[in-house]
Amino acid sequence: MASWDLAVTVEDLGSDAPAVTLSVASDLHVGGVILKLVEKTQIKRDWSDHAIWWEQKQQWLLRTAWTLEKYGIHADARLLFMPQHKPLKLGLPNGKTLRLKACFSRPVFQTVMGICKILDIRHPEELSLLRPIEEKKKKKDKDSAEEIYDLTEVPLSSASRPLLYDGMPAHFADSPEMEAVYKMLSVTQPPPAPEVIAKQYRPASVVDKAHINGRWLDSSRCLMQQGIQENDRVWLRFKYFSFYDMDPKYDVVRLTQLYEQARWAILLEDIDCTEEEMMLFGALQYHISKVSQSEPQMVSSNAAMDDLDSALQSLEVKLEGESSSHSFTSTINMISYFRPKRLTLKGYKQYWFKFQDTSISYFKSKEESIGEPIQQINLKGCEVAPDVNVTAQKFLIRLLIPAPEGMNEVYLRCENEEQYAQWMAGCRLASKGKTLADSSFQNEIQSIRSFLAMQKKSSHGNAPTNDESINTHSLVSPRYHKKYKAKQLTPRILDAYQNVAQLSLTDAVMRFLQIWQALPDFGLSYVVVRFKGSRKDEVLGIAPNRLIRIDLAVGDVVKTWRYNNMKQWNVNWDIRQMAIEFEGNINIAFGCVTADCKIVHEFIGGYIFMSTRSRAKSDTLNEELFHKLTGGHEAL
Amino acid sequence: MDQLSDEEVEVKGEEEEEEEDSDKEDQDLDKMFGAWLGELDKLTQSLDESRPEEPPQRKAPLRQDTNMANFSYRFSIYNINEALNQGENVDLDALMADLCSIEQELGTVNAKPNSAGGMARLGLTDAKVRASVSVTPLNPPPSPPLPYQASLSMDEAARQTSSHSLTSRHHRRTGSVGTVSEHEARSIVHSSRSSATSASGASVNSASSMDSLDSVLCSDEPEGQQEEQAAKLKADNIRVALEKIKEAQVKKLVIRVHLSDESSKTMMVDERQTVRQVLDSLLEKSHCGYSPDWSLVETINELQMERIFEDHENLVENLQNWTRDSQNRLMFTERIEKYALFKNPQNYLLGRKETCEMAERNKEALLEECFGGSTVSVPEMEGVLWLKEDGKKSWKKRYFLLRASGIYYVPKGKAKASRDLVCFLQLDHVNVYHGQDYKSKYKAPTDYCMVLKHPQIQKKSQYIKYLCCDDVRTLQQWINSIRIAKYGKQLYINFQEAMRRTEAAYDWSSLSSSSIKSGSSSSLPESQSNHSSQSDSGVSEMTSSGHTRSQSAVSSIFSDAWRRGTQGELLNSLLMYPYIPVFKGLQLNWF
Repeated sequence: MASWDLAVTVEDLGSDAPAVTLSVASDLHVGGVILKLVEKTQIKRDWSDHAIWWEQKQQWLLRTAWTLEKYGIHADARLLFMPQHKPLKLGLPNGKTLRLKACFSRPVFQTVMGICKILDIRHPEELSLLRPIEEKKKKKDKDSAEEIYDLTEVPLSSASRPLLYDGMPAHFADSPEMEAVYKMLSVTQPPPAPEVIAKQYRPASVVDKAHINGRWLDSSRCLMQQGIQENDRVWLRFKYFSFYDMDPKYDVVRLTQLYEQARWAILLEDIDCTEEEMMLFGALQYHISKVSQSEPQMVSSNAAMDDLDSALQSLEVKLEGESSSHSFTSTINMISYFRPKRLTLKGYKQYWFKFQDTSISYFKSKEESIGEPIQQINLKGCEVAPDVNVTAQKFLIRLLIPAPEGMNEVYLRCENEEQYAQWMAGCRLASKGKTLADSSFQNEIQSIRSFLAMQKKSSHGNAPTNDESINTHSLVSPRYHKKYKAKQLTPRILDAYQNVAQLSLTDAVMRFLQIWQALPDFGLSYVVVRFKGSRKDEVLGIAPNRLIRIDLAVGDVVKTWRYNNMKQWNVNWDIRQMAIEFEGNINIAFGCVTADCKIVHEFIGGYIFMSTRSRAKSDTLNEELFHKLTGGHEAL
Repeated sequence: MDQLSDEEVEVKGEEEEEEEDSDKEDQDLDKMFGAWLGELDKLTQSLDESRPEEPPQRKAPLRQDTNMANFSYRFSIYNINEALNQGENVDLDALMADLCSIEQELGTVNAKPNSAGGMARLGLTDAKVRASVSVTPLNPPPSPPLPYQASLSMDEAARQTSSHSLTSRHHRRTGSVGTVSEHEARSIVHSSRSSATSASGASVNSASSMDSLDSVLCSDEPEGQQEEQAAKLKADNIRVALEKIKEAQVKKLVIRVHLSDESSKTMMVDERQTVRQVLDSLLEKSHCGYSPDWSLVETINELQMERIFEDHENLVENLQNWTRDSQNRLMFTERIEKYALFKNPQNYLLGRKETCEMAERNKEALLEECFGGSTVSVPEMEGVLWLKEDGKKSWKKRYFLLRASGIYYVPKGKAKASRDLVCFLQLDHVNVYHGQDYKSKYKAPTDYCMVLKHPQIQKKSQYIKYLCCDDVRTLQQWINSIRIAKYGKQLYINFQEAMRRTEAAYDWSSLSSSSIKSGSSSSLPESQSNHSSQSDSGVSEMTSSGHTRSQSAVSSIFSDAWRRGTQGELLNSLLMYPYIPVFKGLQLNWF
């Protein structure tokens, strides 16, 4: 067979270097081309990651056994010889940027698998990459000094799960810098400054929210084919809101990053919630940031404790609570109502109060405290609410005590912070049926103190955000920055905080995620579509279990279709239209406006795929099935 | 006495203060034991006129230890007497059986069973029974002589207890030897494991002294030699004692349960028992067909409302919310609405306005989808409801929405955007009740009312919220959605557990195990994992072939029904509930 000249540009020789010309025949296979190429460059190095990219066809020549003829390559082909793994700037859900080597030659699905392996995130099928929102030029110049964590030195291993060292993948234990990267990945970030939240792009409408979904990369094609270049920036995000087999023990990074993504979704009102829910999210964020500063990592709870030991321990606590009198006393002003009347200060009367076990009793004076109390109130099951204003030196504890006749309202007005912290802590524990002997009593006092300190700070204008004090505006969306001053916000968050203050770090993160997942709009990804036969744009919401149709004029859900009833779906790639058939002869068809129909197709197929995962085969990812369900004609 | 008296108090938890006291009493179990015996003596006296002369030692000195517990027994026994005089058929036999079974249970805890110890423990537990059986007089055949049966059993009880009192008195005396308790205390210090403080020593002492007594008294050898062995023995005893402490601190309650046929049962429940466990023992005793619909229903007459206790709830805890003079009742009855949510999930979980049918396969998939994940999402419930205004008999319309975080309403003149919603109430502290006949009681627009209140509130109060729906379907949707929001996955676990019991109770001995399994697959959704759209799979073929393979006649009938069931929804529900009560459900369209 006649031989002819083939020019191949070798990236490693530099961009100015001329293409290497080889004399080849059409029956030469790609492997042979690479061998000749390497010989000719006379560079000794590991070429194993290199492959040839065919520029005109936007295609990698990965099948080394294929001949040039089979690929259809002629002398005019512009070929590029380069590594398949290249550095990529990865924007993480927590807002940090990471530089690491990602695969540019395999479908994005595999690229994400590789990235997740390096980052120690299980179930990579739930994540994907998307093009970032372009930042404005001016801002970019200012923030160019952004810190970038570097992971490009991590060797590419083929092990399905990285070796663990000290609870983290071994490659993070190599150096202090690497450990710092792991800390960034696995520890939640402190609350962002209010200005940072305010500066971020916030979607104002459901159509705005729809635009972000046009940015997802195609999972069945590689990065090079989608125009992503070396050192480009892409975002790594959870795409499918169907989180499988969450286990705090193995999912430290996964949980942390999911929490960060959820937190930002709340702060930027990507997902709507009520004011009460926002306050609870705020309280949880506060608690999480506080606990994660004291605990170095998300340590999974030590389950090694022996059963008998724990039984004895709990008995000890119980007996202690019963025998040695854990109690404290003080003079407190108190007011009690059966029915709430207008609260005036003059109704308060001073009594000698005693707190013991789970009840409070009060006496006329200290001297009379030996005898029978005027009243003893058991706080078990009651509601405790704070009413505190540090600047006004108001320290009220409001108790709602259930009784057969209704709720008794009792207000305790404490003299100072110290007294308040002690009594409030006692009341909170007692309301949960715990006595003062409970080990959490001191913690409770501590957390109340720190919250009071926070209110003190926030009342002195905008204190700088440091570790000790958190501006409550950092915990809620900008809407509430306008609605409430920081010091108005503090008592409301404090109110919600008391229900979560006992949680461990892991539990608090899990609770945050749970409440997030319980929001009505959770898991909805929007796309603007045009239904067949309709003349106006409408919004299609894609959820883990259903599709919804939103009428933009009304702003309301007009129709719900569930995947369970879905018989089949098709894409007409020529006219870029999706057609879905449901049980009962329901057929819908629509064209996609804000996103390519491949993206919509992939969303639906992806969710079907997510629902097929089962516990039995949890460790192996059925990649083939994923591509079958999401790939469209290209995969088949 | 009129009919109403029939509905009087049946169950009494003791007041909270008395429980407070009880902790101190625990320290002196002997005293309590004595007190209990004293009360039994009194009972014996009053019951048995034919034995006027009582052994003197059974009497007074013990009763001097007056305490709250003592008081309550006097109270309860008084009521029993009254009842007996009135000729009410008290289920004393059953109660006695309960007591005996407790004794046996406790006997097994003991490492070295000796009869006296067992008896003593019986007394010990009984002393902890904080309950009073108050039996209200029926409309009277004016005091006939005691029913023979009852008096006989009481006689027996008296005879038994008198012998107990003798043996245990003996122990009490020896148990008070000072050296013994000292030794006990020391051995506790010895055992390295024990983190029990001196306080535990005190209570362990009283509980275990009887057991350890023998070994201590028998050993006349110098203490030094024996010490090591003794210490080991003591360590074991401490374990036993810990068990016993646990047991002894268990509160027990004698309750009266009403059946739908106006009869009632008396039984004893302990504070650890869940509603499910109580239901199980009731079902066992009453020999009625096992169906998941059996429920314990709390009816609060004064407020005209009722609630089905959830299976996982603690019964005693709930009953303790009742007041002393409460007219509340506990009903044991079949309620189709208890698990209607899981039988026809499509009517509750999809937010639809109309009832509809759904294939079993899809029901399972739907349930698994809603309850199988890590978080349970609350069904989308929203719409106009009537809200009763505080203190008035007027009702106003509001647009309500249910979210996992509580019930909200849309303020006037606003759209229903999440951020503008006003929180009506959060669900942590309230239960949802079904209001009855509020049209006449409160001038409600309809009789489909639900009530939200703290379980401890028993009387009219502004803290009780009344909502009224336009129709029964809406009401049931709301009540069930609130239950989901409140209990989440637990509700589904309860249902699955109830179904498992149903299947276990039904003895398909002639059926091969494979066909039982396929029959049960309808209630065990985890058996079906793949519910993707494409898998129009052959689940039905697979399972029905399992049936055809089985040989027995019963199974072929069963499988025939099953096959037909796959075509007609009606027979499908027959499959799920192979008992008559199911047909009740079919009469009601909605459930």
